[in-house]
Amino acid sequence: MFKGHEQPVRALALIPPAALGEDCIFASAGNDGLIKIWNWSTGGSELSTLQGHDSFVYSLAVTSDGTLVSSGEDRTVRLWDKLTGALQQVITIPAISSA
Amino acid sequence: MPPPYKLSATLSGHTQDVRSVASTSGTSGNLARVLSSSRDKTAKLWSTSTSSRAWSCSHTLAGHEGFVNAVCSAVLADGREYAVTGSQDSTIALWDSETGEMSRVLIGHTSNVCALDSKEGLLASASWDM
Repeated sequence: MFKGHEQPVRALALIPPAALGEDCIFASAGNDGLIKIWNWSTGGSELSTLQGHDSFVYSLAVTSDGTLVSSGEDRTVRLWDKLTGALQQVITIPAISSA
Repeated sequence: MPPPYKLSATLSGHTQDVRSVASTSGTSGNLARVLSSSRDKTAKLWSTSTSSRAWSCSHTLAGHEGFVNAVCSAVLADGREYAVTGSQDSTIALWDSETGEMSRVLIGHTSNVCALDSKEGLLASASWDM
């Protein structure tokens, strides 16, 4: 069991790659507005916590280049760097079109 | 760091809030497509073309009797690609991705189907029936 969140967890995402022999890493997020990164293979406490959302996080996804994307009640979509976890971009909905 | 993302398209058509989105695998030479499900009791399959950046709804998957809260794309044992929807009506429906027709209904859950995922021919579902 992975303990650390103090409010309901609303989303999970696998962070690839997990090639044979490599640890399986995943992210969780929820009503506490925090995103936590965990090592499924070794268990234990979270590897890191990503702060930034101002309210509940509802959804997590990972892009093809490994960028973690989160979205939630604060009307933002946030992109987090694959290696450092640093916040790369904040998109506030409704968003300005590129056209 | 890659260049920042910008809004590329807005897909309009649902008449109630959108509860879930998914992308299809884009197999057999086709471009990947977008699936959406909504409280309007439908799911929609959206596609684009290589020549135009415009998106359009290629199929509306109607038939559920309640909110459609989960959607995913699945390639099942018959090799065909399906849109899979999970609904407040407790059922899971399989829709042919090419024709948009309902292929099968999976009955078993006794409450809202809130999550769906598929990998390598397997389908997983989660429900409020716990």
